[in-house]
Amino acid sequence: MTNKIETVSEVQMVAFKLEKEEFAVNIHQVREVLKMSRVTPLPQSANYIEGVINLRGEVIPVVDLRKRFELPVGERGEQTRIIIVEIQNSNVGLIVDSVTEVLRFSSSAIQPPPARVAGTRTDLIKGVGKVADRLLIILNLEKILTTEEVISLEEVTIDS
Amino acid sequence: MEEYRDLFLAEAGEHLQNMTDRMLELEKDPTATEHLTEMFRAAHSLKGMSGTMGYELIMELTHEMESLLDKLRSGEIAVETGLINLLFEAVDLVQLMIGNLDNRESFFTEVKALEKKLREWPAQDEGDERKLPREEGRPISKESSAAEDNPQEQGTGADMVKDKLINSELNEFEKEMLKDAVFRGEKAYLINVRLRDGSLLKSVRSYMVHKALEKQGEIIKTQPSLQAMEEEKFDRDFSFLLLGKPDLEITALKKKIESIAEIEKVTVSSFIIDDQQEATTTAPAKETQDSAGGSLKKQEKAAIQASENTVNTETEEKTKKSFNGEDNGDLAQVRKKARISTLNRSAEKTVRVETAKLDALVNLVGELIINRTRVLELGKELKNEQLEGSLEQLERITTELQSAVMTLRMVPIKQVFDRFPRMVRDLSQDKDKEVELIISGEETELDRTIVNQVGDPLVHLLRNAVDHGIEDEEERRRKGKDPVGKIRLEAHHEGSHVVVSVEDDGMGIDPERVKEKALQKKIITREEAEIMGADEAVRLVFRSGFSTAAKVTDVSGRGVGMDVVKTAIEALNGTVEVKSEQGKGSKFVLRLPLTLAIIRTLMVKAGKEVYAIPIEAIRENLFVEPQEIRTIQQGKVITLREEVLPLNCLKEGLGMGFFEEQDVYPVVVVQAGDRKVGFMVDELMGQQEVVIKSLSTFINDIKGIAGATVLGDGRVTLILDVAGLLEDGRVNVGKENLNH
Amino acid sequence: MLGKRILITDDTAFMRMTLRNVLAKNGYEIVGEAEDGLQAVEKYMEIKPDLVTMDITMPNMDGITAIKKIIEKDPGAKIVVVSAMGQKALVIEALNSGAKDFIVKPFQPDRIVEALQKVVG
Repeated sequence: MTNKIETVSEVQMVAFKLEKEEFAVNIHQVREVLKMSRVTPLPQSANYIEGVINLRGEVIPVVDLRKRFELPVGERGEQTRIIIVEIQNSNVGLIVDSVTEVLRFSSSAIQPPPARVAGTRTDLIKGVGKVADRLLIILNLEKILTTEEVISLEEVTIDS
Repeated sequence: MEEYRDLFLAEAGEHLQNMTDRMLELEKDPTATEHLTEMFRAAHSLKGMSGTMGYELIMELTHEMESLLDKLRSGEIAVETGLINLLFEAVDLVQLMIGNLDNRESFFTEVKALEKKLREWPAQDEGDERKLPREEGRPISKESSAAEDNPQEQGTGADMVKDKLINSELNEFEKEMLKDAVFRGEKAYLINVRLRDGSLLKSVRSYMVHKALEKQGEIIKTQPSLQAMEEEKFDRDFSFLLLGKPDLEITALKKKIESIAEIEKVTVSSFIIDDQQEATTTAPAKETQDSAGGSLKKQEKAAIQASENTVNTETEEKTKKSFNGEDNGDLAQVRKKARISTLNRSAEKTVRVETAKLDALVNLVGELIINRTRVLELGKELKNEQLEGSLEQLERITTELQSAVMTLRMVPIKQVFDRFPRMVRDLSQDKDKEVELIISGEETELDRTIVNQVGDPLVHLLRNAVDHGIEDEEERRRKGKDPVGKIRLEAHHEGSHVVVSVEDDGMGIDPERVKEKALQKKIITREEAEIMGADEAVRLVFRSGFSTAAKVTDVSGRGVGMDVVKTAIEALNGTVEVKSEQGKGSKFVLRLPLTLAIIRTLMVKAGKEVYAIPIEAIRENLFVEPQEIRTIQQGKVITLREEVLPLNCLKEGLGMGFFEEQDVYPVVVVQAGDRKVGFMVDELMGQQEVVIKSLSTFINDIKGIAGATVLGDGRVTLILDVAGLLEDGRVNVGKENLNH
Repeated sequence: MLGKRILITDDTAFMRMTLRNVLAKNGYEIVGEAEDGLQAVEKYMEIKPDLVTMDITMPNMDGITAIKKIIEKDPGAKIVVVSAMGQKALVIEALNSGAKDFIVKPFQPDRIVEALQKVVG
C-alpha cells in the first residue's frame, strides 16, 4: 500500500512533535488522535510499551515514542496526544508531545534518509520530508513495534 | 453456504406458496390453465435451486412434479381432485424437507413412494414413456463465445470449460436438467470468472456474480461448489453453469459481470452436454435408472415397496373423501391449514442465526453482566428495600439470560471427534499397527469457539498416541498385551469444565529418557534432574524446546510438539496434564472451560493496579500477619494446615513493584496443576464477572497475563494467567511442592 | 470520468480525508462528506451525487440503514460500500440492500479508483 502511495504525486502526512523534532506518519495509517488518557501498564514488556488502553472495547497497546527514541522523559500535558495508527491490521497507540497538523508533501519533497543515518537505522525511518524550511522525519511504523533495536535520536537528527 | 441457504429458503418458500395458491385456484376452476404454467415454472425453479444446493431428494421430487405438470399443461392428462391431492402431498413433502434441511434425507422413503405415484399418475398410464425429442447427438463444442473480439480469450475459455466443469462431471440429474432445458428451448451457458490477484472477501465477489447470473436464468452447477465458494476455498477462478433463454445477450452478460470490481476476466460460452449416448437415445429415463441397478437402487426399490402400502391407504382415504363430494372450497381451507401447520411445525424447531450475530449477543450480555455488578453495588449503598428487591430480581434474570445465551453457543464435541476414527485408522495403517479408537462422551457440549480450537491439539495427541504410544504388534505380543492397541478418547462435564482425555495402553513415557533429553536441550540442569520426581520429569514434555520436529522418534517417543498442545489449550483458559506409567500407557487430560467469553474473577489491588484473577484458579483467601511468615531458602512461606505454602508478593511476581511491609497481608491462594502458592496483594476487591479480551497481536506473549478486560468505567484491567505466572522464574513455587 | 460527483461517508475524519485525497487526485469531484448514515441520507437528497461511498459501522445510523433509505428515495442511487475485512455478512446485507459494489479497507488507491470507475465510469 505504501509503495502505491509513493507513486502518486502528493502524500498527506500527520505531523507531530517529540522534544524539538518534527515527525510525520502517513495519513493512511492514522485512525484517530486521542487526548492522553489512563494507560494500564503491562508487566514484563519492553520499556517503551506504556501499556494498554480501551479503544471502543478493543484493548490496544500504547507506545511511548519518547522512550522508543530514548529521549528524556518529558512532562505530559494538555498537548500530549495518543495517535492511533494501524500497523499490520492492528491498532496501536503512539504517545507524542503534540500533534501539529496534516501536511501535504509532493513526492519529490520526500528524500531517503541521510547517509549517516542510512548505515544503521534506515529501516526505522522511511525518509525525510521537506516543507518550506522544515524537515520532518517520516517514520516507518511497521518497524516501531517489531524491531528490538534501540533508536537513539542523535542518529536521526538531521541538520536543516 | 449460509447466504445461499437463506436465499434458497426464502425463494423456495415463495415458490411453494405460489404453487399452493395456484393449485387452490385451479381446484376451483379446472379450466383456468394459466395457473398450470405458473405451477410448472415454480416446480421447475424449485428443481433447479435444490439441485444447485445439492438437495437431491427435493430436486428429484420437484422433477417428478414438474413432469406431471407438464403433462397437465399439454392436455395429456386432466385436472381432477385426486391429482391436486397428489400434488399437494408433494408440496407438503417439499415443505417438510425444506423446513428440516439438515434431516432431509430422513424423508427418503416418503419421497420415493411419492415420486412413483407422481410418475405413474394416472394408474392406467403406467407404460407412459416420456418421449423427449433429443437434440442430435454430438460431442461437446462451443457454439459461440462472448469473446468474439479476442480469439485468444476464446481459446482459454474452451480450456477452462474442459478443466473446470466436464472433468468434475455432471451427475445424472444435472444432465437430466440440461436436457430438459434444451427440450424447453433453453440453452446452457458456461461462465468462467477470474478475480484479480489478492482480492479480499472473495466469497462476496462470487456471491455478486451469482446474484447477477441468477437474474438471467437458473444456475445448475458451480465450480467450486457453492459451499467452497462461501468458504473461499478457491484461488481466483470460479465457474457457473447457467440455464437461460436461447437469445441471452452473451456480450451484455459478460459486460455486466465485468462491471463488478476486482473481476479481472470473464468468459461466457454456450455449453452442450457431452454425452452422446444420452443425447441420441430416446429411451426413457426410467430405463437408465433401472439398468444402473446398484445396491442403492435396490435399496430404494425395497423402500418403495415397504412404504407403498401405508402411503397408498392414506391417499386412498383422502381420495375417497374428496370423491365423496366434499366441497372444493372446504378442501381448500383444509389444505391451507395443513400447509400452515407444516410451516409452523418446521419454524418451531430451529431458527438459523448468523454466528456473528450470536457473538454480538454474547458480548452484549457480557457487558450487561459487568454493568449489573456496578448497578448492584450502587444499589446496595442506597439501602432502599424496594430497590434491593428489584435488583435481586435483575440479578436473577440477567444470570438466567447469561446462561441461556451461553447455551446458544454450545455445540457437541462430536463435531471434532467425528473425524478421528478415520484419521486414527489411516495413521495406524501407515505405521502398520493395530489400533482401536474408543470414543465416548461425544455428546458433551461446550462453547463453539472452544470446540473449533480444540481439534488441532487433539489431532496432535492422537497422532502421538499412534506414532509413539502404541507399540507395534510384535512388541505388544512379546509384552503379553492385546496385539490391538487401544486409544480412548473421552469427554465429560466436570463442574464448569469439560474434561477431554486421550489415553493409550502403549509403552508410556520413560521419565529418565525425558530427563536425559531435557538435559541435552539444556531445559534443565543436572542438579534439577537429580532431584526431579518422575511425574515432574514426564511433565517436561510440555516445555517449549523439548522436542524438535526433526528428532521425534529417537528419544522417549513422546513429546512431539507437546508445548504446542499446551499453548493452544492454555490459550483457551484450559489446562493439560499428563499421567504416564511406563509400560502401561499414558493419559493426557485437557480441562477446558465450558464457555470462553466470560469468566468470574476476583479483583485484587496490587500497587496502583487492579488485576483480575480467574476464580477457577483460586483455592482460598487468607489474611496473613507478618509474624506468621517464615523465610526459608526459596523465599517466604507460611504453614497452612500443616502444609508449607510458598508466598509471593503479586507486584513482585509481575515485576511491577516491590514488596512493602504491611500490618496484615491479604493473600490469594492459587493453584495450577498441583502447584499451590499464595500471592500477597494490597487489597481484595471482590468478585466480578468479566469479558475476556485478547491483548493486541503485538503483545500477546506475556507470561502470566491471560488477557484483559474492560471494566464498566472503561478502564482496562489485566486478567492473570495463574498457570503461566507459576511457571515464570520470578515466582517462588517451592521445590517441595513440585515433587509432592 | 471527468468530474463525477462523489459523496463520502465515514465516521472517521481520517478515512474521509484518505478517500478525498485518492479520489480528488483521480479526477473525481468530492461534493460532500457525511459523518454518519443520517447525514449521508440528508446530503444525498440535497446534492444528488453521482456516487456515494458508504462506511458500514457508524454511529447514529449505520451504513446499511442509510443504503436502504437512499435506495428507497432514489432506486438508481449508486452506492459503494467501504468495509473492513471480516465484515462479510454485513457486506452481503449491504449489497442486498442496493449497494452496487464494495471496497475493502485498508485499501489500495488504484483498486478504489478501479472499483468506482466500474460503477460510475
